[in-house]
Amino acid sequence: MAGNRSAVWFSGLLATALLLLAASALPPARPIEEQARALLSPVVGGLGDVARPAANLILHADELDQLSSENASLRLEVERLERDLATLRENQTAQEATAALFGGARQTPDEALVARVLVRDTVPRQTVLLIGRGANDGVLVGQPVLGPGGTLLGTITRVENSHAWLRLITDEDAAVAVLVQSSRTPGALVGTGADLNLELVERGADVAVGDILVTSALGGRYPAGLVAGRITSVDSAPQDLFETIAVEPLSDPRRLEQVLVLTSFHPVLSASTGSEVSP
Amino acid sequence: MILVPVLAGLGAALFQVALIPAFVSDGWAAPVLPCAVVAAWAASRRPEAATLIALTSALVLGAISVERAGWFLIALLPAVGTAMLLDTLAPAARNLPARIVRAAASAAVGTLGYLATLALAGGHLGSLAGAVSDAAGAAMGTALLAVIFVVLLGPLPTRAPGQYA
Repeated sequence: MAGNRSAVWFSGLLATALLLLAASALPPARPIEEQARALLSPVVGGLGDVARPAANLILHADELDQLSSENASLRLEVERLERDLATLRENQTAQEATAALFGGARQTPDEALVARVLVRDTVPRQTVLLIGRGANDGVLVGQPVLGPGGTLLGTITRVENSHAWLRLITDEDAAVAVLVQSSRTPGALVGTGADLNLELVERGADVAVGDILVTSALGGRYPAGLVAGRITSVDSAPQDLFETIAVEPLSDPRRLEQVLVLTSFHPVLSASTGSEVSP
Repeated sequence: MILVPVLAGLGAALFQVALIPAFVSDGWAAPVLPCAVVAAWAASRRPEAATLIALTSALVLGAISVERAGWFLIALLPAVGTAMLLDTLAPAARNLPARIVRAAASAAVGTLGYLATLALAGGHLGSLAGAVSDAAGAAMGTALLAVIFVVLLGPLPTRAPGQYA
């Protein structure tokens, strides 16, 4: 008897699931989903804001000593970089003065939009974040998104009126044309789910652990010169044509609270990608 | 009293999205709160009532994910189904140890089913094979959460067949 009753409930639930799947493909489902997302995402964002500091404290309690020594060395590094930056600014001013003399146009500065990270998708292998900016703010599919320090974080893959989905460069389906900054060796930065691999770099190419990768303008999907990752290991077997290169992303998506959407950049998109923009 | 399971489902889904990623970054290894709540509720009350928890959780998870709500509901079916099967096989075993065993089993099986279903939906079923140990860890973590919820729900009387929630 109990078995029959359970079977009826279970069948009802399965039927509801199939109905939901079918209904979600219909056009009226999209605005309903969007409204639900607008209602729920602030709640999730608020809960996440509470949880993140607690999680950081619990997960990194044993690293406090290491963090303080790292902090001290980073302060020294920042001082050195500030000196370098001052020199670069001087050089830039000199270059601009020279360009003005020859009537050269000044490069338009990048425009970026600060967006709050609301939700990180929990589905396994879905390295996707929901951010609190959308079509109403001028966000477009394909625009690059930057994390702390201006490092490349990912790309906008779907835009709604007030929200957008950002796919991280660590996603298994993501690939970015990059250059090794020091040697200008080209390669393809491919996501593995959690980390990155640099592919299509021939054996014996001028790459080393610690090298920084920057985006290349090849393909028109990213502006040139965005920092995309750091090489952590270079390895290859004698029979390999290409090096096996592991790369670490420079931002931890788990700790992200805000990101920058590069709204001044208009990527070259395929027709299928462009269709993901909702009205 | 359908409000309580609805709220339980809502809370489980919201905490799943807001809290779990802050502690566990790998989606394969993360415990699944809705599965734990479904399993604990089914073991402590009636399995039929857990269907509402599954439905509410799936709707919330679907609203704040790139995956559809229907897939989340299908992903939660193994937890509900296992709880119902155990209830059918041993309807008289309702004491605390029996409830703990039922909840842990439903939660563990449910988590593996949840991960496999979402991997299938996302086209990543192949990568599940490489994440078996992570998935097993997620199943154990969910089972532990379900046991904790059963203990917390302990003072509540179990419902007789036909009574809801």
